[in-house]
Amino acid sequence: MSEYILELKDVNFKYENAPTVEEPALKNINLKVKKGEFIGVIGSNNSGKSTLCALCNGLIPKALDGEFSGQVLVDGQDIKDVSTAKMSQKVGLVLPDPEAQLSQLTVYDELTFGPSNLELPREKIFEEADRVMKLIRLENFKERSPFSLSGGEQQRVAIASVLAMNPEILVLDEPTSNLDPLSTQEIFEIICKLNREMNMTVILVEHEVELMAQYVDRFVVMDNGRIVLDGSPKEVFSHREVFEQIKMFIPTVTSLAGEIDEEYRKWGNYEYPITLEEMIKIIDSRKE
Amino acid sequence: MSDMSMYIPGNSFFHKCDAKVKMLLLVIVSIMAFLFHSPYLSGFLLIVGAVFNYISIGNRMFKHMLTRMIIIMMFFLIILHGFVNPRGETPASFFGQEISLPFFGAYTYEGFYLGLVFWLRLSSIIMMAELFISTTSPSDLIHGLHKLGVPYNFCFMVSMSLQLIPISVREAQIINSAQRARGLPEKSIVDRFKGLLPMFVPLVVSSLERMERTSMALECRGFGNTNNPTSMSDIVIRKSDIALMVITLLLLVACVIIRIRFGSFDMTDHLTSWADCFRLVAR
Repeated sequence: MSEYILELKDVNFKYENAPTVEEPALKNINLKVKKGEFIGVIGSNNSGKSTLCALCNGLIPKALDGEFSGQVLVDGQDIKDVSTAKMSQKVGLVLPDPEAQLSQLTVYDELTFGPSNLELPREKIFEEADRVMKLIRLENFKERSPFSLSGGEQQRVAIASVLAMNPEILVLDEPTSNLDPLSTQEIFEIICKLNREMNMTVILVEHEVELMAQYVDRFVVMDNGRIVLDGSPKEVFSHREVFEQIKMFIPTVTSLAGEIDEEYRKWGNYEYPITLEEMIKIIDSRKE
Repeated sequence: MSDMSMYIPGNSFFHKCDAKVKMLLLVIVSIMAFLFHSPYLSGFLLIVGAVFNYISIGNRMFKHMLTRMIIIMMFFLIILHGFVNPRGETPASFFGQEISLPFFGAYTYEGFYLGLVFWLRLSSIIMMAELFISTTSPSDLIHGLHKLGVPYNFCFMVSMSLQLIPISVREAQIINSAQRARGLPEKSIVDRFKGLLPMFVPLVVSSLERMERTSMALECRGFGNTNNPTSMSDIVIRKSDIALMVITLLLLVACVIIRIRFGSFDMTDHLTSWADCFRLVAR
């Protein structure tokens, strides 16, 4: 058993049903993920982020057609050798559109749907559903129809329904793209809790760079199907020129520190801050 | 519109009853309602159905869509039938007066009788259907179908389409408003029909795209792994369910025997007064 829970080796992928797009969606992707890591994937549209997500649980190359080369290993197993249903117990995938992910008549049915497809025993399914319901705080919605909930609540149900499969890796593809700031914050806190308290490996694809910077351990920056940067938030955001080149924003405070670079250096040999709190601390320490 | 099912959650006898038993009950009542051409049995079934409904969902039965339907049908079948039924011959007397409409003629005993019988037949079935629908959660219904031998994929399709109706309606509204905002004419009725076409294409395309995403999400949760997923329904057939089933079956058998021995108790040809309409045997 290797030390990495997820390994992508020289992966190339080109969608079959996109004849107008000449470029492959992914080019030479190499990525190694350790157990318990919280990875944030950022990049502009069409940079291959969603394709990367679908790769993690074998939807690519099994359900979505295209030219695939390379190797994806989950827990040492090649995704090609395992069915998507079996893989769903290892890798849970949450998609951007909360409503399209829900299919059952009540929230509770939604939670039991996945495990019941795996033909687990009844008691175990109930146990699992109750555990997830407590974790995501869905008790009040138990008997409601998922379609009568708000977007944020729906996305929570979608995350819960994936968690009910008890995966080791949680992959979230823009889970907050349709949500208001409060729901977004809520989803982030849930994801963070899963990672910190339950030691779940999380791969989060998002546009909310500033919010992500507070939570994630490691950033993967993608552009045009390639990984251009990979490292801790501080490392990644110190490459301002790369972000400018791929037309992505970095957190405002980091950008500010970069703008006043010379002055900032004079304050002492600080690293660039990435959250507002850090910047406030640095400024406070200057006052003294 | 967010919830198309007419299920009313509760904890009564019929809520805990197995969906298959209730389905059988509905079938038996439908047969019994059409056995006799007399108001008595179907009237009895209507009252029993109403009592069962009241026990299960209480006052909410009066607001139920199907109850309203029964009342609307009463107007059409009893009042209009009296005037328009082709078999009507004997004009009815309302305190010595005849009531007649132009073109249709007088209100007749035969029309009233036939209308009443037909109304009671239909409404007793509707009452039972209301009991079935309002006490069976859609997922239990689907489990029931699955247990009766309907393939799982088909059952899943049924439950999925139940959900799709309100979503499609909402999507259609959004597309329609967007096109009106861009100046789609909407003055005359013809314009409105013309407006349906530009709405139809985006609606179909967006539904197909949604299904694509849904199928991906379902695959991520193991759908298609098995044709026999673990049943999550709490409902088991109890002794009282079996008793209910046996009683209704016996009643059905008894009614069928009476029907064969004594005929359908049709009074249409023997009507001369209001009292005749409620007689079981002709004078």
